[in-house]
Amino acid sequence: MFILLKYGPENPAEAWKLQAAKGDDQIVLIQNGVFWAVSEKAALEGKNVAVVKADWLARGYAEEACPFPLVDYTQFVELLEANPKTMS
Amino acid sequence: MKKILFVIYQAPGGTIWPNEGFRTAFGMYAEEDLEPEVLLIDQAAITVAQGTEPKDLGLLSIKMVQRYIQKYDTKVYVEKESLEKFQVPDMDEGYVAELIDRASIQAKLAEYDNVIFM
Repeated sequence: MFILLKYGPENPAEAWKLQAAKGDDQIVLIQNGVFWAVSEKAALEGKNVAVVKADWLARGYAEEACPFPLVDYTQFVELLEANPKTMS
Repeated sequence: MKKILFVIYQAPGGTIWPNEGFRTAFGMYAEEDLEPEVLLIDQAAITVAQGTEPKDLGLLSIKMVQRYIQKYDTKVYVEKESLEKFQVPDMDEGYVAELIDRASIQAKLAEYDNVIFM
């Protein structure tokens, strides 16, 4: 399943999604969802995570500081298409 | 048949999202092969309380969705942990809501083609 997180750790829905995520689910952090990669790395441990590069850089973080693979919008669409089921 | 789960997580009265979640779910019936279900979690769990009715504050009614739940026989779940967290005293039978715990509903998620949070 493709799981999209667009709100930060303060949002109860995003925490719920993460708890529901299984090992092979593809998680993508977009918009304020990138803050999960900043302050909640432990919650993402062992999960398949990608971060939207434009949102990461737009929030002042250096590319190399990202603990997960950064993807551009084309790659984001490819990830979306590779997963017929979505949670967003 | 595509199964879609609408997960409503915001409170009625404070936001419009429970009304919108149900309204969007009912809209799915316009298509032959879409089967919507609704899950209430976190603050949205208070939706099913007997006394919850934003209309009493001069806002849009939430209980008006019950007519369509029964008309379409829409499957409604409410998360047990959320009911306990927000101490919902008594459930309004009009929602025909099934109580389900988090582990069970999260195990069911793979059945759905799309899970949409509102």
